[in-house]
Amino acid sequence: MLQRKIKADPFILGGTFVVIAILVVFPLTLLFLNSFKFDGAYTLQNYATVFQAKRNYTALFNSLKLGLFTSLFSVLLGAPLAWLVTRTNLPFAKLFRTLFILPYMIPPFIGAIAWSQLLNRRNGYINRLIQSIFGIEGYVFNVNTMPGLIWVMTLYLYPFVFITVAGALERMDPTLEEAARTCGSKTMKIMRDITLPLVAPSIAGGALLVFASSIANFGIPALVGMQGRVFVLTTMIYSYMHSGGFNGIATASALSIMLMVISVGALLINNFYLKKKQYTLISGKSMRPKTLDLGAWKIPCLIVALVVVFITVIMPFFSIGLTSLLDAWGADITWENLTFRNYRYILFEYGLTKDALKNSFLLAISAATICMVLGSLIAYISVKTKIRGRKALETIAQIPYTIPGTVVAIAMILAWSGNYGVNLYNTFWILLFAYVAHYVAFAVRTTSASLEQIHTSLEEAARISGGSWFTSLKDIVVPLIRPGLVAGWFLIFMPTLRELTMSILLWGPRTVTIGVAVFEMQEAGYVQISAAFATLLLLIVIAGNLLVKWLTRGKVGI
Amino acid sequence: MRKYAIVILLLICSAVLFGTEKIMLYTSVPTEIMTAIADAFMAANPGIELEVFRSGTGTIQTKLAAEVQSGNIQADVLWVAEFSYYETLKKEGLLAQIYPEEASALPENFKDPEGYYYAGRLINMVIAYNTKALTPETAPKSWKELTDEKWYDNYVVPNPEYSGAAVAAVGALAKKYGWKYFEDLRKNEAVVVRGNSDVAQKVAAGEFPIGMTLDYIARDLNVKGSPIDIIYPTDGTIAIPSPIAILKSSQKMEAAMKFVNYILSIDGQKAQVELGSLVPVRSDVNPPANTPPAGEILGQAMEIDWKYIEEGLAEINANFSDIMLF
Repeated sequence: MLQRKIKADPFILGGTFVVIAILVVFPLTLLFLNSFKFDGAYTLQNYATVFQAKRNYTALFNSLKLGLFTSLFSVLLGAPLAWLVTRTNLPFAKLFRTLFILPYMIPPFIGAIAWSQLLNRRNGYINRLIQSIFGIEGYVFNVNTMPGLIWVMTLYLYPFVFITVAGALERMDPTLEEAARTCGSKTMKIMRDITLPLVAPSIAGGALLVFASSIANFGIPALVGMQGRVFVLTTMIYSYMHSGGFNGIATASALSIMLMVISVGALLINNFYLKKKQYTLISGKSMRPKTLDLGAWKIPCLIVALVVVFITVIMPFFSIGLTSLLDAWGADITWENLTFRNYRYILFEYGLTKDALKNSFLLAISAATICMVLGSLIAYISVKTKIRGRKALETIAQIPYTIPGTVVAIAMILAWSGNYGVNLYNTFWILLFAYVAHYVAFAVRTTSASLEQIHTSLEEAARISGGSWFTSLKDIVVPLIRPGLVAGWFLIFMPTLRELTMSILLWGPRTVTIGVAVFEMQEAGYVQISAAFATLLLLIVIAGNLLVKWLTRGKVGI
Repeated sequence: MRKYAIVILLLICSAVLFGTEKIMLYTSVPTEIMTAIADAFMAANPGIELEVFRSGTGTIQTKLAAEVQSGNIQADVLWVAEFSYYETLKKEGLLAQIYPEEASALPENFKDPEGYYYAGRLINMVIAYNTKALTPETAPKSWKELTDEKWYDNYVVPNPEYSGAAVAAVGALAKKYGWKYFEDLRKNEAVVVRGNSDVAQKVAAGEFPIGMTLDYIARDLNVKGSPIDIIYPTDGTIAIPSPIAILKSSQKMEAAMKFVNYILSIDGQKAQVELGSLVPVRSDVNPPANTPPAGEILGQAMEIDWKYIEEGLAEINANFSDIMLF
């Protein structure tokens, strides 16, 4: 009797398996099957069709190209910056660290909007500046090209490399470097022979994250690439879904599976190969490594850091702010042309704003809450019980996050459009299902980390004293992991509030979201109005982050 | 303190409610103009709340097809680009047969003889140009001229997969000049963007000096002070009567009918002229300043084979995207 493992309430726990089966297993299986289904039979026809059209393999090739170059440039930008703020006596290193992570907080499609304003072919602010300075006709930069796409993508994704490398550099055992220094090695040699090999797995890990995120991104290639005929897999799937009828859905399914294979492949390499290396090479000691005196390089490095902040943060914010005040996009920048009309329009006249705010807040709150309940149950089952299949459950629940949002959305459309008895097409629920499926992994990860720290004896004590399973959960487990739960809730709330990739495929006439509303405005050419909307969204995101920081005492948020 | 803050935050975020008779309109009329027309309609009919789903005709077609498939049609009223799509819907039995009183004032060629749809506006594909970059003298005069090397990298057009007016325009131009015309445009690096308001905004902003777009969208921007003007091409304006219809599945027939009647009425047409610079379909309403009336525009318009547009929709879209997009 004393040896008895905690018997969990079979009703709740069994329910968890069912919910995950409905949310994740069923739609993804359907997607997989549907990609082979042609005229009622299972064949490779859809894949053949995909490769017959040049546009599709161009899109595949473009996705790969975009992913590879974005990763490369993210490493070139993120890794040296990480080294600069963690290992040198760069002035204001702490402030720079926050500023370098800031682009991570900006929704990528807002970045795309900003850079469309700055580098747009004839009337981008930068092009106009160059024209007026050098008195030239025509334009120098055109953002609607592959290099433009890589540029914007890099600026918003390089923080992945920066964060992982900065973390690795801080946790690195400094004695290795000191040993080399004692033996008389020069700084450059130490960097090359000791530091770089030690952080290489983290660099590669960050690069793979960038790769997976850039091929899964929809906002940037849609707003920047489509006009320049640069299609990638996500935008190609979007255009099939919008104009291809029902054959379009079959082709989109086949493309989705390809997109999924690439991105899951990249993340698997990271999880199974690189993660291990990272843990074996970096010790958990909290010794602060010696910082390098930059000497004469101090000022040049400071200037580089300032330029990076200027390009990644100040210029885009300024551009969006300025555009939001313009009477008309492309108007000369004079006092008479500045107005608050765009704000008045989105706040008081444009009906969709109210709907979008309402829907997005409701969706984000519901998704975060459901994810936390479901995620903690899954984490609990996986960490604290011996139920058969618990590890499979945890793995399955994590799958949708490694899958691009576009793919999850297509799977939801296939499963919940009335073909299998339930019709959620065009409703709030299909969006909620997709959000929960995609983000439940966050909840599982944050709670399982906290749960692992609670010794089983605490729960056993409660059970021996006669408490039910539910009591022990309510009085012992939940209070202990509460900080983790709150943190996880906000980690889901913030990205779902401004979600675009899945929403753009799932929204209906009554379920417009903030991300969709901004995207539609921008796509309709109302650049100054979408800028006002984007400013509003940025304010919400920044205020939200500060609030989260305050509520969680600085544990979550930037 | 923090606990209460969280609770209050949740309460504020989740408090929402309201209620009147709601009808859902699916339309391709640009957002800003449609918002103004919807407000004018609701001011005249206080008991009805008009909800608007605004997108390109192509997107609305896909959306509606998916809704029909899943048996959950949300639209009550449909007001998108052109006749051919309504013919398709009529054959599928999705439209209601209606007889709005106000329709008696419409010319015969602006309504379906069987009473399934009525033209609520006349929209015209024209050449728009940026007045800072070009003058009426230097701007191109015809569609044909745009394949000239002179306009290399200068021309922007809407995508027929999104815009129904573009389907009509591409169909008409392909019929008149052959698909070679579009191959020449591609060689000239003509750029495709999503819809007509996108084109007009880009021309007004100076990103492109010339574009193919709808007359009223450019005129509306012009009235609001943007540097954009239009040219009725010498080889024919592409004039498109844009119909309004009620879905058979609608549960709000009476309210939907009120909206259709409003759009066709003198007040509704005046509202469109004043709020959106549209060409009225009734001869008893004056067109916007410096704009010819509907009859005159139709007189110099390019011939459109609506049968070809209806039956060749897939071909038009496929050819266009093969040539211009990929």
